[in-house]
Amino acid sequence: MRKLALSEEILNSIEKPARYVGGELNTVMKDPATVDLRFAFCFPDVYEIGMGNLGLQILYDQFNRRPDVWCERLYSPWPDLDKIMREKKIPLFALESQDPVKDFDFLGITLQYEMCYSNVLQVLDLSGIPLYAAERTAADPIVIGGGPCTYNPEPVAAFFDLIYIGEGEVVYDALFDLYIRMKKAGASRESFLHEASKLEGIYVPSLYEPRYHEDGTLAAFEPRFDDVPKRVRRVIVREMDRQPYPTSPIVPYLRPFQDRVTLEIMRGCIRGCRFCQAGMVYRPVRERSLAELKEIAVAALKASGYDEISLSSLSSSDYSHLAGLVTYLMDECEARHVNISLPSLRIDNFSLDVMSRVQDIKKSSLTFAAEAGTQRLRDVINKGLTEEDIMRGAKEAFHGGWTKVKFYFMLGLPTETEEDRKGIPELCERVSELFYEEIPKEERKGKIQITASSSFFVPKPFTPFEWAVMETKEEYLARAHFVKDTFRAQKNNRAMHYEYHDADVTVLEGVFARGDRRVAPVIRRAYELGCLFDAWSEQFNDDKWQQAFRDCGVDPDFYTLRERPEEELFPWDFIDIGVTKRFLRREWDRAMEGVVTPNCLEQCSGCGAGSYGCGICPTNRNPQEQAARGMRGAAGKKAPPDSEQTAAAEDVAGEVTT
Amino acid sequence: MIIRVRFGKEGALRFIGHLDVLRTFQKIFRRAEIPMVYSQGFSPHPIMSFALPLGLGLSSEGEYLDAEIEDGMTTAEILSRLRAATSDELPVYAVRMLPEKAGNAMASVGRAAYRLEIPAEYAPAIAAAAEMLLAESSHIISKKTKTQTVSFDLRPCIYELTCRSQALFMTLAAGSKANVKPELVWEELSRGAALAEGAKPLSIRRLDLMTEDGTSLGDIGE
Repeated sequence: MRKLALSEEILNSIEKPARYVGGELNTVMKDPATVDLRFAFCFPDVYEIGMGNLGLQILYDQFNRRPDVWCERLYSPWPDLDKIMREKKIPLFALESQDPVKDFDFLGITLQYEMCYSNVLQVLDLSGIPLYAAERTAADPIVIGGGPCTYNPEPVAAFFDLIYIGEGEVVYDALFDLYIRMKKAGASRESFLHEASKLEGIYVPSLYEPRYHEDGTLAAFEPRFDDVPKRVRRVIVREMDRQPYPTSPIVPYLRPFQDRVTLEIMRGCIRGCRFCQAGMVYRPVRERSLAELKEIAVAALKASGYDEISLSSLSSSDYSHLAGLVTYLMDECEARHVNISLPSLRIDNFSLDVMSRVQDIKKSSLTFAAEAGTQRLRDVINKGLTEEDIMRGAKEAFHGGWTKVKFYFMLGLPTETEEDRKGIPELCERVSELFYEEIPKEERKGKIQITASSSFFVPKPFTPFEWAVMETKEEYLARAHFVKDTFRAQKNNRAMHYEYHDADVTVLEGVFARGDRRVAPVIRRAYELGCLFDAWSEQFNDDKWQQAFRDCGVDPDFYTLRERPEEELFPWDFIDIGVTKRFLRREWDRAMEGVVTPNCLEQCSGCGAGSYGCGICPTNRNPQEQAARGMRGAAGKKAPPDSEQTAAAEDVAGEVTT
Repeated sequence: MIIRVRFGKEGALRFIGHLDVLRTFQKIFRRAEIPMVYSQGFSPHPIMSFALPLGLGLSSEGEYLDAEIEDGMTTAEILSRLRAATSDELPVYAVRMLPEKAGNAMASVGRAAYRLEIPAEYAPAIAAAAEMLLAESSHIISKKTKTQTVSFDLRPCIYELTCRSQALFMTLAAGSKANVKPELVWEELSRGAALAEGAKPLSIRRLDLMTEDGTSLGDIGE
């Protein structure tokens, strides 16, 4: 039997000891003596959140396919265990072997949201690893970061030896080969990091030097050595079908937030919403084939025993073979008593029909991610959802028996006016009136219930809104209160419920999203002051964060309230994601004019992602993928107008030479 | 048909709660491709029940669950499929088909057998305390519940209590009529042996569950 790192006494005294014992179905056990490299993969939040992460499952599977590598997992100890580990000086350990993280070759930390940054420091601290990469020695693991937040890694760059930019499947093999070779040759930590910087997608923060103007803006960001690349290019999987899928996912005993098989049907999104980072940084759209998805789904259900499967993508309705896939899954799942969950579907006849067959209409609600209250503002953000779409979808849904409708909105979007804020309750009012108009009294199965929730918009790097100015916390709250009051004034206000997110967290997220290296000491100070699990509202303490900013002499307003000029050099500009800054600026200008941009299927806008020459881009020369694309109709058939074509060609060429 | 599965809990599984183990077994049955019978209604669930929950931290080699499955598989085949689908720390030992009239596992439980590993220095005193307790005709103790304190006689709830070197074996009343936890008997013995406050056994392991007349739940059916 495995030895556990925590004593019986401790395990019996903490909340949910199952978080820390490992041993779940499909975990991989190896003999450490037979491997050359031990990798501790950390999701810096509590076990039940982290277990559902698909990226972790993909890389766990991929790394462990190598006989010379053993990848294990760890999550953030909850404050109850955190306290005990500090008191008793118990080093943080990985779940499988229960060995201390400090003894591993690599500690990989996935950065899924900015509010986990204090937890990153907790993991390093409890592991006994110096917080700043500069203070580490040969005795410490190489600390590597990855995940969505790395599209601006600068606020946390000082805590990492390496940062992986792009999709994890691509470069880890080469990185591991390099590490094993250099470790066997007795090379130093410094020389390994230096060599690693030459791999595509690998960013070594210590090898770059920022310089600032007197006004605090970035003047230059350059490598400290000639042989270190000036820019770090995002790496991506070119053909999804060639990439193995974790068909034997780890099945936790403790119920996780995502208690199901996750089936990733495609990467990227054709839509180009201007606020959305995922829509830009995962371009171009790359699909898995229907045949392969069928195989993966059945294998994963069988190996895991899960009773639910969920489709995962940024916009499942845009998957070319959705109908075929869903029909197949419905047949398979019925026989196996498995439920299907279909998030991020556009509401139309097809999706309503499917949903009525896979879920209980009375209990489920329909979700519209309207994002803005008026058509004008939806055009500004390029949200390709019109009021007509919403009304038509709602009408069909009401006739189908649904009575619960959810709306997601954002407040604080660029160009937003009072009219747009008023538009949120007014849109909900029109939808509720539609219910009473459409459904005769005797046919109503319950009352209409509308839930509207709004978050405050945080401008993200590599989006057309990366130049946008944020608002103060007070202004955000004033706007939310105005919306709430306007809801109260609606005729059907009793059928509507409005809630809004926290404004403190928004401002902090804004600082981290577009921050630079000078933010790192603030994160460290906040951690010292006791900040931890900031993503949990009951744990979040804004006063401590404000104190940390004061203690470090860093002004958060510099990052959130300052107007950024067009030509400003951003801290994340050294990353090349394919999509060009020129395209993003063009999109910003179009947003200011309220002009929408067609999606990738309707017309190529020359964003720059074509430089990867894969997926749905016209630059993809793979005949098989081209054929798949041809089935979708629109793509590639409509020639882009001359000006756009030129722009597209320029952008692609520009990328090739950098 | 209804089958009874005997299984154990080792290592990490000792810290997995009752409901999580139940959900895990549903997954193991699906992994094993053993067709379960589902309840009716919009969200049907497999028909499966446990004999008696095991306290967190305890290991066991005598846990039971009853499950209704579609006819057509032999118990030997079910056993080998479950073994292939489970983990080392949740071992499956035996599968039997229950006769029509057999009560379900939960209703059948009357006794539970445990083995407590104890530190060598405690053994003589505990052995003596055990003999003393067995010699009593009644042993009234008061048990605090959430709302009140209830007195009850522990003695008739003890069917077996022997100390052999560093192992303390006990068979206690269990189930819906009377349910005595091994920790409670340990506390009584440790008081009788005048051990230091908070003295704990090294480990507690459930060995088996029996009916009121002492038949192992694993001996019912074929």
